[in-house]
Amino acid sequence: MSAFHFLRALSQINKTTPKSSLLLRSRRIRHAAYASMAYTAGRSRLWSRALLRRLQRRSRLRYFSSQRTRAVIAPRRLKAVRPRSGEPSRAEALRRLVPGGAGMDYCSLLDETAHYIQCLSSQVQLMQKVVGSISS
Amino acid sequence: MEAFSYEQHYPFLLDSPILPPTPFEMSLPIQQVGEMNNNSPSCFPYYFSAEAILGVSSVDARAYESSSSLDTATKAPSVESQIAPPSVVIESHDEKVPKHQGSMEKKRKNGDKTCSSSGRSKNVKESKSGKQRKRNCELKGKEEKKPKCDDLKATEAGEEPPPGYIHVRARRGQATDSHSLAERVRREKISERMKMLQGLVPGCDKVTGKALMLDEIINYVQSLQNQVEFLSMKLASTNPSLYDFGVDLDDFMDKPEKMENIPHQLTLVNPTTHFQPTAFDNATNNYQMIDPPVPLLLHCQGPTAFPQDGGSFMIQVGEQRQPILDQFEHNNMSSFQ
Repeated sequence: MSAFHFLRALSQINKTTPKSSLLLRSRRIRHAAYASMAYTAGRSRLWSRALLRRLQRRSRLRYFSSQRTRAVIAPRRLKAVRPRSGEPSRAEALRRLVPGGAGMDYCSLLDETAHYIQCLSSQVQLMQKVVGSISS
Repeated sequence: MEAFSYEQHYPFLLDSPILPPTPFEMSLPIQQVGEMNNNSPSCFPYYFSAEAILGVSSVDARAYESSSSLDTATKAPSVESQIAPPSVVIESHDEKVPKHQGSMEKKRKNGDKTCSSSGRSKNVKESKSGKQRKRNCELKGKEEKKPKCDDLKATEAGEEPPPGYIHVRARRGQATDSHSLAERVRREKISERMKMLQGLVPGCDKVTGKALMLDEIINYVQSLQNQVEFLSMKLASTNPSLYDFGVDLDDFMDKPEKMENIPHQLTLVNPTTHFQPTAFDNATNNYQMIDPPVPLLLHCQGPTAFPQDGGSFMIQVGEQRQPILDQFEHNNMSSFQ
């Protein structure tokens, strides 16, 4: 399913984005990869929900900025980073990596990380396959 | 003392559901806890009296079996233990906790001894098992009021008080107030998740210690994210050339088709798929030259015509890619569902 979504998005990106701007294309492809991944994981997962929300917000921002040149950037909520009791200090780094990790407790953070790793690695496999089949 | 409290729980897990109260002497050699043979019976009447009086439901028996199989393998209970009801998981995991959190345990033990009746000598305890049970009952009542983290336990206890009341009991020498019980549940959940992650992250099983494991996990996630970035760069740089040569497209093309063999029954993809053939316009032209019946249908009928015709056609064209894709698809689907 993820492969299907991703390839569809890829073909659309190829259609719409100009071929010259490599950076834009690669960013859009990356977003498509994450979006297809999160979409496949479904809304039951915290990380996929957070990822989709983030991507949506970004696309909305892009839409706004293209519409009226002045981007309406919502001020980012800054959560007070306090060392949570009973968890290793490295957990904060993991929170930053896993989407939506800031709001999770440590237990579900680990759970979501496991699922996220699974999805991410299969997405990487898919992209490798696509790249391989294209370049060969 | 540490080792003692660690081991003494085994026979209970293993044999209590299967065997009636008598044979715990027999069960001990299996667990090779001979060194504590003289100690264990003293703590046993406590368990068995409760067990024998109340009986065990079928669900509990299953749970016990699963946990006992885990224990006999002396393996860390991992994903399997998710099947078991939470309260049983608590029990099966508890043996691990004292090892990691030795200092905390000791502290707790001290507190326990000073403040409560549970930390007395064995003989006293043996004689007062009835009292102890009563006390645990109280504890259970307290437990039910607590909303967070123990809600599963609490609900279970609400449905069938006797088994719940057996399960949530803290073992001898452990703190029994609701906070430390909840803390123990949480810790044991965390270690279970850690085990799960250990299986997922390559190279994580070699390192010891939670901090190092977390480092490994972080590195792995980072490397995966970097890989996604790198691959998207690569895709962005290679893709435009595709549309200059329609020939290259057909091995790009067979993937969506392969994917459609699966969502055959999924109607939700159908409305959106129609732009896909248009994206591969020149590819379909290619097909038309080789295989007339297929491609024009693509435009008007969309994906429903795709799998049968396109799939069989692709077998002719790109058969060397077929196994790769199939295999890929298998692991893709399996990892997602």
